[in-house]
Amino acid sequence: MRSLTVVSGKGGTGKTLFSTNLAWLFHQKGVATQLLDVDAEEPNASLFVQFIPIRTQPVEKLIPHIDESLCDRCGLCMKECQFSAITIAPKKTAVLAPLCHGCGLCARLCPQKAITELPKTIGNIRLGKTQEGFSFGEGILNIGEPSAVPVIRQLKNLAPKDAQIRILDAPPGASCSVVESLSGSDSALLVTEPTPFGLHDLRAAIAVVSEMKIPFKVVINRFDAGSSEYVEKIRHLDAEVIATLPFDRKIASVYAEGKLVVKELPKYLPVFERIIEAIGRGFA
Amino acid sequence: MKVLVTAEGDTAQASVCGRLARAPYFLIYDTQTEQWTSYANPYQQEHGMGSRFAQFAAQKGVQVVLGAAPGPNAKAALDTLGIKFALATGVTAQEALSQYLATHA
Repeated sequence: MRSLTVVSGKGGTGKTLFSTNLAWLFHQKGVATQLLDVDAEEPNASLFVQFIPIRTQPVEKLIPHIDESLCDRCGLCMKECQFSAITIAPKKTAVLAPLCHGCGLCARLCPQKAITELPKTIGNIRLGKTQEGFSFGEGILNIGEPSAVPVIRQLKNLAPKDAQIRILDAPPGASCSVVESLSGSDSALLVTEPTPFGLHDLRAAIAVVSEMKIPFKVVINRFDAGSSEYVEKIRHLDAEVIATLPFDRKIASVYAEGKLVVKELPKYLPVFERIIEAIGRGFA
Repeated sequence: MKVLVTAEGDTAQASVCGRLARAPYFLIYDTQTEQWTSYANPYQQEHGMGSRFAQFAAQKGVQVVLGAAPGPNAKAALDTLGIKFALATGVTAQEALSQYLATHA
């Protein structure tokens, strides 16, 4: 199985638009396809396919629980916790679950063996297929939870590995959850737009995929909406632009209705075909 | 009693900082010696500054913290450690201390 992660840096550039349309097109071509929505903070790819969930699995994080009768207040756990998730006072202890990364160091270090790790549900993953017939999965982070990383990791691990191509619709940004989405990917598709923010965040995304040594290509969405100055600036980056999609009210309209451009607006099929060809040439 | 004020500078004339745990300086006033001691904020981390700050205050024997409103983590850690908090904004560290002592001493 080859995997392609669709990232952007800036939010709202078109990750989901490209992920869902590419998945459908791959499937149409007889390629065993899987689409994973790893934007667990606000998954929305399922709006564009008819998702039939088959399996739901909670995602848990291990949170330390301190047995006050065993704790001798030595403070080692508090001192060593890199995320300052534990506070030990003479009469009280506090574990700040939102700060805890569930690494388990405190439980291992505790000389009194006063710490046990208890699971806390932080989200869910849903796996299944689409009515169209390809494999689909999504991660959903519970509201208030600070990190989607464990949800993304578990979704990638539990999703079936029998597809020929796995497309991951990543979260925006260039931080931990994006790194986890890209981790293990054969390639990345960077979606940008010709605006100052698009360019700025594309640079951040390029820095991440380059650091991770993941081959990537760029597509420019809303090609003619921003200024040509930014198109030029994007073209001057050390990155190959393989396709552009124009700014077209009809595309926005189709998207807003939860429909696919490749189905509704055949004149844009060649844009997506070009990306699939590039993937076929070996960048995925 | 020791009172900690989070400040923009390292003297009692410095303004109270608009951020609590991420203030550049922590100024501690000891009511017994009537002396201020200044500490540059020793922490530089993305997450968990609130609880580190509360732990710092506890370690220095502070009973009261004056400064900008704490976030949820700082608040939980201050409560756990039994450290009182009072809001202080738009004044110098000295003024914040005087106001607090005038109303609470």
